[in-house]
Amino acid sequence: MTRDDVFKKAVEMLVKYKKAKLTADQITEQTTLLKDLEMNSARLVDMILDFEDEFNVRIEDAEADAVRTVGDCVELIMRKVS
Amino acid sequence: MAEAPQLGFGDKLSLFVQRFVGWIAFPVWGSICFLLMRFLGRYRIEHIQQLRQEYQRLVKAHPGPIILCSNHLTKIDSGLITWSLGSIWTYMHSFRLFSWNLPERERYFGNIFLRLICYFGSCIPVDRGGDRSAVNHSLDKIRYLMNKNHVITLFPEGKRSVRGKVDTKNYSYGVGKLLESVQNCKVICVYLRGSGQEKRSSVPRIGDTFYVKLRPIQIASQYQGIRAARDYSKQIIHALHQMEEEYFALCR
Repeated sequence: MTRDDVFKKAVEMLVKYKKAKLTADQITEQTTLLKDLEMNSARLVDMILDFEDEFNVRIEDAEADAVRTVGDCVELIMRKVS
Repeated sequence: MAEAPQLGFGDKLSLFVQRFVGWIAFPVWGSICFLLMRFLGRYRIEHIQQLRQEYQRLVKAHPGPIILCSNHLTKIDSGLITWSLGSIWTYMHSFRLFSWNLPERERYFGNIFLRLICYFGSCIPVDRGGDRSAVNHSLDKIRYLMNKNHVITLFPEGKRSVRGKVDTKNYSYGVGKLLESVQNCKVICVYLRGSGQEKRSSVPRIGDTFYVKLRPIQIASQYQGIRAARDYSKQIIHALHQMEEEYFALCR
C-alpha cells in the first residue's frame, strides 16, 4: 500500500467526522484535525478506532494523542502496516 | 488499563492545599453560594433531605473512587448538585462528599471572582480541545485523586445539551477514559432539571424547583483501551437518557 493510497483512504474515512465545511479535495497532509476540520476529541477517538479496524492495526493511546494533522495519520498508519 | 498517573510532588501538594483551603473556607463561601441559590435564585430542590441521605449512603457504602455523571443544562449545575447532595454541616463533617469538578478553563477562569470560587470549590481546569499534554496533565490529576478515593463530578456530554436533552449522538469520551484507567470506580448518574428548563441556558429560571435523581449504575466492557472508554461513555449517556425519559414521563 502506497502513501498515496493510505492518504486517500484516510481522507475518505475522516470526512464523516469533520464539522468544517472543507471538501475532501481541499484536505492535504498539512490539514489539522482539530482546527481545520473542527473535529473534537471524541471524533478523533472514533477516527482512530476506524483506522484500527480498516487497516487491522493496534494504535496506542500515546500514539493517538500525538496525531495533529492528516499527514500524522498517514505517517502513523504507514508505520503500523509496515 | 492505563498506567498510573505520574504526578509530581508539586502537583500533589497543590491539590492537597487547594482541598484543605476549600474545606477551611467552606462555611463562608459555601454558605454564600447556597444562600445565593436559595434566595437570589429562589431555587428549591425536591425531596432534598431524602436526596442528601441517599447520596451519603451511596458514598459511605463505597470506600473507593466515585464519579457523579450528570446531564448538563446550565452553567451552575455543579453548584446545584452540590447544594442538593449535602448541607454545609455535612460537607464540613465529611468533605469527601464534596466532589471535585473539571470546568473548562476558558469559560470559568476568566475573572478573579470565578477563579476564586473554582479554587475553593475543588475545581481542576481543563483546556478542552487544547494541547493534548495539558489536557492529559489535568486528567492525571483527576486520576490521582480517584486513586485516593475522591468523588468527581463530570458532565459526560462534555458540554451543555444543545437541544435541552441528553445528546446520545455527540458526546465526549472523557469519562470513559477516566473509568478505563481507574479500578473499582463507582458510577452514580445524576439527572438534574429545573421545572422551567426547556433547553440549555446560563442559569435556571428564577424560582425553579429542581428534580434531582441519583442512580448508581454498573458498567462493563468486553473491550480494552480507548474502545472500552467509548463503550463506558456510551453506557453512561444511555443511562442518563433513560433517566431523562423517566423524568418526562413522570413530570411533564
